Amino acid sequence: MHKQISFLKIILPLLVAIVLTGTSCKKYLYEAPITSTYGASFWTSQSAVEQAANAMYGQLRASLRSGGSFFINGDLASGTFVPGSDQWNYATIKAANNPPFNFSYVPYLEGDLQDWSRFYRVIAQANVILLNVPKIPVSMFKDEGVKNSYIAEALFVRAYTYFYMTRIWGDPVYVTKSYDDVDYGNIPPIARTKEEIVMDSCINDLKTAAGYLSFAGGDLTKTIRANKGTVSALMAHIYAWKHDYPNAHKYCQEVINNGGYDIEPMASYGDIWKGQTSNESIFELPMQYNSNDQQFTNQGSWAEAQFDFFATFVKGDIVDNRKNNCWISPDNGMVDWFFDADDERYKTVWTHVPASGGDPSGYMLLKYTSFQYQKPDTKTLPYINNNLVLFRLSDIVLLDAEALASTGDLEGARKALAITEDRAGVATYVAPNNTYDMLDEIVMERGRELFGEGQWYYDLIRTQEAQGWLEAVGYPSNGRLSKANKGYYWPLDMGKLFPYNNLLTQNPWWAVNK
Amino acid sequence: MKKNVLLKRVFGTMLFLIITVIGMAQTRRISGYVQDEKKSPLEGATVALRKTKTSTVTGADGKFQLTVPVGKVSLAVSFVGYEATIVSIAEDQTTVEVKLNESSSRKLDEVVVVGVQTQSKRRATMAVASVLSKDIENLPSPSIDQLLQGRVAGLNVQIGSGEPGVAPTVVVRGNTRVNTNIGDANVSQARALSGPLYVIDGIPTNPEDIGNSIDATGTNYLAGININDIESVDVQKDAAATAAWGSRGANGVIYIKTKRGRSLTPEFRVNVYGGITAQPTLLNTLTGAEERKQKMDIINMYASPANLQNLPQILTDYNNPYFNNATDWQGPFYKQGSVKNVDATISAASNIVNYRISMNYFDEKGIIENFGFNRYSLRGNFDFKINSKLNSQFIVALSKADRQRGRKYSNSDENTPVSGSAQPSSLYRLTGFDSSNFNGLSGKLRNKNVNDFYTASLTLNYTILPTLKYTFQGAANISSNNRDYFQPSDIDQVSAANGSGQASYAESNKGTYSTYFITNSLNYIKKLTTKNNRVHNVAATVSQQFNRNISNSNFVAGYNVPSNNIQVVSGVPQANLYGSSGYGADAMMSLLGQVQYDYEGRYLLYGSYRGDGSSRFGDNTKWGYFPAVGAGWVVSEEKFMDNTKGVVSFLKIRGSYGASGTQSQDLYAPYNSYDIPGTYNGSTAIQPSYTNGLTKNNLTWTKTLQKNIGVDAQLFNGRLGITADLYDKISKDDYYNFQLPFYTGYQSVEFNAKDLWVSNRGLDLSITTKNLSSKSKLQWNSQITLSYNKNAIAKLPNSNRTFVIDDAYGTGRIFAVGQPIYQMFQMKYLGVYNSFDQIPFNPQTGNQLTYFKGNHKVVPGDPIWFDLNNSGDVWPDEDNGSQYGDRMPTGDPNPKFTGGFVNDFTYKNFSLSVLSIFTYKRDVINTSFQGQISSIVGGYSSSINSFASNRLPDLSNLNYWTPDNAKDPNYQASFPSINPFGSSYYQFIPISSMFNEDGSYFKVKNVVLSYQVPAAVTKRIKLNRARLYCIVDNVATFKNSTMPNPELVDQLGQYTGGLYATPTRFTMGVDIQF
Repeated sequence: MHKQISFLKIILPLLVAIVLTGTSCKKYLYEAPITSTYGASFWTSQSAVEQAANAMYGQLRASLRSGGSFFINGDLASGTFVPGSDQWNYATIKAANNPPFNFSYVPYLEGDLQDWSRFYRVIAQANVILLNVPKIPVSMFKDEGVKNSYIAEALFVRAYTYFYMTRIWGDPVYVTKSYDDVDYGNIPPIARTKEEIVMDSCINDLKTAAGYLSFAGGDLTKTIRANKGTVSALMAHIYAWKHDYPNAHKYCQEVINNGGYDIEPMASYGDIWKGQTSNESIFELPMQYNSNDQQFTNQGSWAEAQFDFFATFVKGDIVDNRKNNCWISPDNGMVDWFFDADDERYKTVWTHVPASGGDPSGYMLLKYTSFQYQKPDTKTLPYINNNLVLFRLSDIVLLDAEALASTGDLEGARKALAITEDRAGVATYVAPNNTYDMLDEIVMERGRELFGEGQWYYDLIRTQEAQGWLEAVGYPSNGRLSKANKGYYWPLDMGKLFPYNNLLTQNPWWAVNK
Repeated sequence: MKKNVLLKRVFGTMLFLIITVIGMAQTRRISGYVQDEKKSPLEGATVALRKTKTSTVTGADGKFQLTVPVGKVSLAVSFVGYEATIVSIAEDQTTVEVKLNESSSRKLDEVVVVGVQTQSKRRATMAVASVLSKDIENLPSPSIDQLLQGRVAGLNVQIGSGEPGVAPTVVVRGNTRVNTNIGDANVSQARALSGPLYVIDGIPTNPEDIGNSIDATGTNYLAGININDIESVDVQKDAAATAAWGSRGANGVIYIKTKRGRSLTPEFRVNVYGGITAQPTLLNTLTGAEERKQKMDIINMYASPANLQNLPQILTDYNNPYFNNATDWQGPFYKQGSVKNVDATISAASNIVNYRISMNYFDEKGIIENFGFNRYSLRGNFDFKINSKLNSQFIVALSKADRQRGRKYSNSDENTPVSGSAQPSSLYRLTGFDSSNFNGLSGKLRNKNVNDFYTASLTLNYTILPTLKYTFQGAANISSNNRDYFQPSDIDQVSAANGSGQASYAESNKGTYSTYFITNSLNYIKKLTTKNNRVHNVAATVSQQFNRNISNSNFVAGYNVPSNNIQVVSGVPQANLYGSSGYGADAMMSLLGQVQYDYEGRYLLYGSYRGDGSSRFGDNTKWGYFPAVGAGWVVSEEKFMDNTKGVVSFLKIRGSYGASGTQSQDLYAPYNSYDIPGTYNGSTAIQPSYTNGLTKNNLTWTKTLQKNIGVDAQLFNGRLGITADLYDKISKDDYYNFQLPFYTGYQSVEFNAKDLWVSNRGLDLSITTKNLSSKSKLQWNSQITLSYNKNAIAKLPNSNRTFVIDDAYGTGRIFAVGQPIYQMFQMKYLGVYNSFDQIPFNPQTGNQLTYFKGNHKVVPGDPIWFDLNNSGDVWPDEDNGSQYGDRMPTGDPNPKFTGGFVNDFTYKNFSLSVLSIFTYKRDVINTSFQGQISSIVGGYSSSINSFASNRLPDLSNLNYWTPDNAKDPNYQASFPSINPFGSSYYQFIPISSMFNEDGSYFKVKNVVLSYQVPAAVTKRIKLNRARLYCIVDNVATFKNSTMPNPELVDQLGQYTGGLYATPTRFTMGVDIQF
């Protein structure tokens, strides 16, 4: 008996101790990190959504800028420029190459030119916003309009990204969901979706977005984010890409009439790329130095201001002789071909340079020349302080001209053309009296206006069927450009992408031509 | 009531005193000395008076004193591992000398701790191997792991770097980790292989967790423990042993026990050793005129007259004092190093308290300037016997380690300022700048790496009933590491003069990792004797454990410190200032049950079950359960074996099966983390991490299922002992860096790969022999350990999709079912085309064979690369049907056989111990030679100028193809032509197996000679005991490869030539007891 009591005396407190430690320790088994935020705790405030939106735009900027691909895809591939003499591996993207513009052999540039993975990061960020924002109560936002505007921005960025990818690689793999908490070892492959279908989905998204946003023209601070003007400009472009010119015209008109934008006078033409300075700008990506930017020193993809990206176009004094070669539009090339000598743009944004640094003599582009040093005293940490303009009013006006011309309204097209030609002081390029000539003139005027803005190559693709400009700039007429072969699109790096998606197919031309 | 108790106590105490006084009057004291066959004193032997059961323990000098009743008495003297004996003491005898003979089954009586249960090796059903303090004491190494090399079957220790304070790789029964981040040189040197769990005095510690949380210094965690404080190391290998450690035991458990006080009389022991490390063997290299001649000879073989007119100045202008030198650039880097060690110990044992307090100072100076390691440590082990039912152990240990790392910043950095393969030609003059760069410059750097360790542990044992014991253990382990780093501006004066000077950089990086560990255990032991005298033994243990780890770190750094005299982060411009702090915490709660049962000591059964709840697992899968069973049959206890006792003194057959696991290395794996990538127009952006941004509610432990069959045998009166284990280990669901499909937008996620299975099968064999009769004056004992392991990937995610990843040095590694992990994947090199008629033609075009996508037409003197896809062109990345071109599996960096051979000799007072180790069937890559060759010819940017300005490797033993030799039709070259004017088709970049070598080696690792000073001498100089010893470390290496030491490779088998060498070391020491 006595023994039992002492036994209990020992055992009971022991059990109590065990149970107590057991229960009090249990909470430690559910300890969350305090060094980083995570999904469940992040999506609970408007400021978090704002940060996520910033990340989405920042990703878009990083993706477009990656490896200078924005200008390679939009400008170099149109033959306007020849690559810098140090860029031996860009040499295949030239008319003079054999075969010309050989997109399949770009040593060390595959990651930027044949791999679209980075754009799916932008899409994933948009998708994660679209997944989470609707779940956050309106009370966490200033008002319902603010909440909806974030949804609209994500819809816009996703549509823009798919549109941009489609213009480079054709049919995208279309994803509108977030891959979270799935069986990561067995994610089902997805085949490419026809670009027509993707473009229609984008238009639907943009219509929703337009309903949530308002025009912001005139407010220069709003050019770096989506608003109704941005959305309409993108819709105009997508409709034009679909050759649905009546609708393209409709949305161009929307931008022109309701956007609140103005054509920048010739005297301050350079302001367009200065960064949130011109009311001609509809949508631009900020690339300006700011002293809070910790990524600046490493010049990585998130550095706001960079040197290399814009420095592609400039050399010599402009960049304090930090470079002695750059992309030049050579003599007897497109600058000589397209511009009249009295075109103000010819005088303002082009300068003739002699052959130097291995480059031929020709014209150097002066749109992005705000060269600065972070440390002027030691001349270290250089950058070029310009913004990248993605949409501007002249672009939409000329797109409208194209839409009008394509639908037979030559007079309307002539009037639209006159807006930019008048500004440049050359109202007399030609006076086309048929659709073909009119469209040719519009394509050339778009070039004069938009060279070096990552656009013109897509103009050539868009108008290829009617005007055949790609052959004119040096693409072969060996079937590559046919509707079936789509050899104007870039090949995909199948070696890299296929293992992770075995439904992926190569673009037709590049499946058989290397 | 209370008063009563007090009275009772006072009365009781008085009574006790009186009895004692009376008793004393009737007793006498005897003193004695217990020794072994070799006349060495036996410390810790029990001397018991048979009648009264009073007992004592011998001191380190083997001496004891005991109070015995008057009259004739008999004493029972026993010691673990020795045959107990009984001695009679005559009435008038006051001193006695006892000799104990080593028991034939000595090792069987040792005990091991498995989980929370103590088991004797005789009755254990698990595969455990031990190393005892006598095997390792005084060996001049900063950490214990290095000393386990070659002593334990199933344990593969490779010392890839001799850098003081750096951890070797320790792998138990084969690597199970598939790391896909091997392109990062730091990973391949640290986290490519699966390491074991360490349990130090009962406290589980995973050095890898510490390294992942705080990694400022990269110093080996185990270097905080003084080798001479270690009593034993048990390596637990099979599931029956490791399942008791549950979700952390899958890769083996290494249990380290520290020494306790044993000697009855307080004793003071001092042990001092010191020694020197020789300058390492330098690679053969030609210098001066010889080098120029060799280069000109090669040039003259190939050069056109135009080529000869345009030779670089360094070769032509040999009167110029700048280009007329003979500098062996290795010379300035390496020097002689040294090591010294001082231990002081005081210890005593009595009926109420045992203690052992030790102090240690260890100092190693490296063989490269500003490399070294020193440590101060203090450890106290105390045992308190509070009453007959309650006793307590208290352990406290402190240590401080300071490691000098030269100019190394991260672990993968080269040790020397100029890497092995990038050394310049000897013709360059060693300028003042060069010598300061090599000798003095690292002195201008501040690179301070301090690790502090604190441990305190308290154990309480309470005997509730004779059969039931309760144990509480509470412990805290705190490890902190601090790095202070400063690099002055323009450290590289040449580039500074060229205007590309480097900004100064200061950094302070500090971290603390704290582990708290609490266990409550109940242990029930019962011996049941049935009516017919059959004995059943049962031991059952239940335990509850709680483990919490917390890490704290902070980091501040800045460029452009205003003055080179300011070596801390101070006055740094805002834009160049970086700071961050970190915090991580995790916890694990566990329940563990263990049951041992045996019938007559003949049939053994064991079972254990453990449940772990870990904060690192996902919400849905927080708890993991780990069962294990074992069974054994002691055949030698059977009646029918009685006749064979002379031959088979002990024979046990055992088997086990069970599951154990590993935890995620990520403390917050279930939580998807978000990153701050930067700003957009000045505003902060936050996004999910592309590598860890997805939720993982189902994340759980990895699972290792292991089968083991083993035999333990003692034959011929213990002169031959054999332990053999066959195992089959399958590791499943390992954490795997899934590369996600591009369309998810995420790069990768670390998750359990249900379809990632790694198989390790093998044999552990350990044979001990006593080669001479026990009567012989010379004793010679040997131990051979052999581990055979076959590593293979058994299953891969995404329907066994094969993939290839290039490591940090550009060698492809294939991950495919059936291939070992990190199998090299290269074009197969088959020799040299000696003449045109040997070169095949392209089967499709009829053209001559080409390399490099048709860019190079093969000519005599080119390497023969196997045209795997038979396409007429050989190249790795050709997209013609086969994704990997002509690459194929070419070499396995996992050794198939490793082991050791120990020979111990004793003769009178001398003893000699020789430890040899070996590794057999391992492929390594001589990246150092590859780098040198490709920087002079056939590399990424080689030219006649790089040929002239780089050091030529030793070509004297290289039969490279030359046009002259090729005129002989029977000529066979063994290396392609070295033509500085030929077109490079990248023939010497690491894409072919041309530089693979046999990584096998046999190494005499150390020789220890010691001399026990005779008692007569020690008595005269008033010492209790003295021992002198000298040790030679890294005595000799026998190998097939061209590199000086094929062990000096990274975890993937790359010999970069930049790893810190392990040269011969000589030490001498003396161990004295007062």
